[in-house]
Amino acid sequence: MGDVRIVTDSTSDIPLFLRQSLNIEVVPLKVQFGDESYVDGVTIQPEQFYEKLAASASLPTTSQPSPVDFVDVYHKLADDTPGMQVVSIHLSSTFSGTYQSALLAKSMMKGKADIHVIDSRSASYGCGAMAVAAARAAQAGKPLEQCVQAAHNIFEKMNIYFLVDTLDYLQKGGRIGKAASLIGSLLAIKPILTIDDEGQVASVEKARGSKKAMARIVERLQDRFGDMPVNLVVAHANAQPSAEQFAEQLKSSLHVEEIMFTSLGPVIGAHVGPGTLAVFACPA
Amino acid sequence: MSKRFNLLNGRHLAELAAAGLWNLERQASAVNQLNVFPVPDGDTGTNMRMTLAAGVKELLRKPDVHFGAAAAAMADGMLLGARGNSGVILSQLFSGFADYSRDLETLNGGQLAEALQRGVEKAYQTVVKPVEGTILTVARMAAERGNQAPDGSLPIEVMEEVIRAAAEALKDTPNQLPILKKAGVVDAGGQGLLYVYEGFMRALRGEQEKSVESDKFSESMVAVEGADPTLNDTPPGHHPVQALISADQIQYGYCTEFIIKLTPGKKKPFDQDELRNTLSALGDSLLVAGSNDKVKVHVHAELPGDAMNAAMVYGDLIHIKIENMREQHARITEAAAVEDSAVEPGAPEQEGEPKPCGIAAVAAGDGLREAFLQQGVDVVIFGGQTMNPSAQDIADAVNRVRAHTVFVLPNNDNVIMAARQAAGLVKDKRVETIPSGTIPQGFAAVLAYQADLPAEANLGAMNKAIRGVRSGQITRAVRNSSIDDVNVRQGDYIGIADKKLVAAETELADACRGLLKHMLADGGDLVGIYCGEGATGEATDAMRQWLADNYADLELDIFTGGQPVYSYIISVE
Repeated sequence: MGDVRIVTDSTSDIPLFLRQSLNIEVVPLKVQFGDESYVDGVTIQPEQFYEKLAASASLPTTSQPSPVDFVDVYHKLADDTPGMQVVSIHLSSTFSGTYQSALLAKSMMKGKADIHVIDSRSASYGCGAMAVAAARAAQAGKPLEQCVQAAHNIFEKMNIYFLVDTLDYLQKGGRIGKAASLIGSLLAIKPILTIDDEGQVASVEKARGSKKAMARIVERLQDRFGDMPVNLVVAHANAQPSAEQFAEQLKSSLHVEEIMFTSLGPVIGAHVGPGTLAVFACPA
Repeated sequence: MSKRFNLLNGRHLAELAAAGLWNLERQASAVNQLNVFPVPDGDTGTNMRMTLAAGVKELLRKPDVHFGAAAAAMADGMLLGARGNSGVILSQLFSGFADYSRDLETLNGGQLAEALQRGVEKAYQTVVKPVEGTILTVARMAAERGNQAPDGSLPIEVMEEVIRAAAEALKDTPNQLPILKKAGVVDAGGQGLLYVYEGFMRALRGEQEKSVESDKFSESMVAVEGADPTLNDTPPGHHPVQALISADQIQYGYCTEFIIKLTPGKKKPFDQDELRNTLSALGDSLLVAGSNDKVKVHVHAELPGDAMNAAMVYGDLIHIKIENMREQHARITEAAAVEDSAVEPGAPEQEGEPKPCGIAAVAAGDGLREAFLQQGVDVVIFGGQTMNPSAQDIADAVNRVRAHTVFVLPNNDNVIMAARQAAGLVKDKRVETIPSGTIPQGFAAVLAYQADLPAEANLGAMNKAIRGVRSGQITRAVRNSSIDDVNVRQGDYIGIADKKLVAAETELADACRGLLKHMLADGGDLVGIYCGEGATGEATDAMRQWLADNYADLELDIFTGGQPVYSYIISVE
C-alpha cells in the first residue's frame, strides 16, 4: 500500500523533465493531417506540428485515446507495482472524450487496479498542474485521498488566461464556448480568454491589441495576488519570443517564486492556433 | 409692447421668446461660423436655435398669462430640447430664470434682472468646470449689469443694460480665452446669447411685426402705439416664428431641407452664389452651407420640387426632408421635426427583465454604429459632429434600454453636457454619463465594459479607459485660418489631435501622415484607423505603408466607420 501512480494525457503540456522526475504516465491523444496520423508527443513534437500546420492547407483533426490505450497503461502500472493505486487526471470532458475513455478503461479493468479518474474541468497546464501536484503528494508517500485533494486544491487556486492570435481555430474546432459572440468583430479585438468553472472557454475581458491584452492580464494577476509569491507557467504555441516578453512583464509586476515555460502541444495547438500565449498562475 | 409696460406677463414672455428665436434663427449661420477650428463643425448657432425653439414650442403648447407658469413651460421645453454645450447652458440659464419667477404673476424690471441672475447661478452650477470667456461670462456680466440698473427701472431699461454689458463681455472673450484670440473670433455661444437678448429687446421695443395674431393668443401682444414702423427691419417674407404661430399667414408653405452630395466631374461645378440666387427667388429662410463635398440647403419654399431641381444640377440629393408648415404650424421650426428621429431605427424598446447595466452611445456612420452594437451597446443614438442630439433624444434612447443603470457615451465633446442633462430627465433608472469626447474614447469605454460586473466597477473601468486613448481627426478646412502655428487654407486637409491643430496639407495622405506622426511622438502600441465617408484607398495605403516603415512593432486596426465629416478618425493607445 501507499504506492500511488499518476496518469494524465498528452494535452497536459507537462515538460518532459517534470514528467520523468515525478514519474507521471502520459496517455497520448492523436492528431491527423489528412491521411497522416500522429501520436501526440510521441511521433510528433510541437515544433514539427506547427511547421506542418503552417504548410497544411486544411486544419488537422484530433482524436482522444481509445479506452484500450488507457487499459494498456493501467495494466503496465499494475504489473510493475502490484497493489498500487492510480489517479488519472484528464482534459476537461467539455473539450474531449478523453475522460470518458479513461472511465471506460477503468471499468474494463474490472477491479484489477484501484483507479480514481478525475475530470480536470481544465486544459493544458491547468490540468497538468493538477497532475503535478498529485504526483508530488504521491512521491511524498501520501495516500490516494490526499493526492486527489492536492489536485483539487490546485484547481481551486489556479488562474488561467490565454490569448489567441485568431478565434478561427477555436471556432472551427468547436471549442469556442462562451467566446462565440466575439467572432466576426469589426474591430480587431483581443479577447482575454480563460477556462471558466464549467470547463468552457470564456472571455473575461476585451482588449485592443495584444500588447494591451498582455498588460491587462498582468494587471488582473496583480489585483488577484498582490505581493503574494506565485508560481507561473507560461505556455505558447510556437511563439517563444512573445512568451519570453510576456514572462518579463509578469516578473516585473508580480512576486514570482518560480516560472517555467512549456509548449502547447499539437492537440491543444490545433484548437487554439499558432501564436497562442497562456499563463497559469498559482500561489506558491 | 412699448416703454409704458412696466410689468411683463406670460404673453409678453411668449413674444420675447419668439423674437429671441427669430433673431437667433436669422443669425444662426453667423454664429456657426464663429468656430475655433476651421472645421465643418460650426453648429453652436444651430444648437442654440434648436434649444430655444423647443422652449418656444412648449410655451405655445401651454400658453399662460401667468409669467411664472409660462416661464416654467418654456424652461421645460428647453431642458428637453437642449443640444450642444451652448444649448445646454442656454437651457440652464432659462431654467434658473424660471425658478426665480415660478410664483410671479408678472415681472417688473428689477425682477427681470434678478431672474437673469438666478439663471446665471444655475448655469454655473451645471457646468463641471466653468470656463471664463464663454457664454457663461457673457451671461454673468450681463445679469450683473442688469442688477445695477436703478430701482424702479422698466424691463426695457434693464434689458438695455443687459445687452450693453453682454456686448462688452462678448468683445472681451478673446482676451480671456487664448484659443479664441488665436482663431480671431469671439465666443460663439456668447454671441448666440447676445442675439437672443437683442431679440428680446426688439420685442420690448415693439420692433417686431406689429400685428401678431395667433390662434393661441387672441390678444395682440404688441402695443401698436409708439412703435416706429421704420424700425421694423424684419426681412420681407421671413417670419418663421410668427408664421408658425399663425398658419394662414405662411407665404412659403414647405420647409425644405436636403444635402447635396457634390459630384464634380459628373455634374455642374458647385456655385454657391448661383444656387443662393435661384433659391432666394423661390422662398425664404435660406441657408446654404457646407464643405467641399457636401452642401446643406434649407429653404422655406412654396414649390419644394423647384428648389430640389435647382440643386440637383450640382449633385445627388440626400437626407431630403420636407415639412408642410401649414399643416404642422404648431411646430416652431424645422428643429421640432427632427426631434424624434435621432434614435436609430432597429432599436425597439428592449423587453424582459432589466439587466444590471446597459449602454446608449452616440455615433454617426454605419460602420461605427455596427461596431458599437457588436461590442455590447444597446442603443445607438444618431449624432456626432455637426449633428448633436438633444437631451430628449438621449433620454429617449436611455429609456429604451432595459437596465437598472444605463451608461451614456456621448462620443463628442459637444454632446457631453446634453448627455448629463438627459441623465436628469430619466427618473426610473440610474444614468451615468461617461465623458467620452471622441469616437476612440467611446470604443475604449465600451471595451472596458463587462456586462456581468456591477455598475460601480463598470463606471470606474470606463472612466479610466477613456483616459488611455489619444484621438485624432482628419477633415477639410472650411475657411482660411492660422491657429496653433499652422497656416490653413480653405479646402486643406487638416489633422486635429486631442483639440490641437497639428497638420494642414493639400493632400489627404500628407495630412494623415502628419497627424499620425504627431500622435505617435509620445509612443503607442496600437493605431486604430476609422475610415469615414471621405477616406480614399490611396490615403489608407499611405498610412499603412508609413507605419510599417517607421513603426514596425505597431499593431494596426483599420476599419470602415463610414462617419460623415471626418475622412479619418485615428486612435493611438
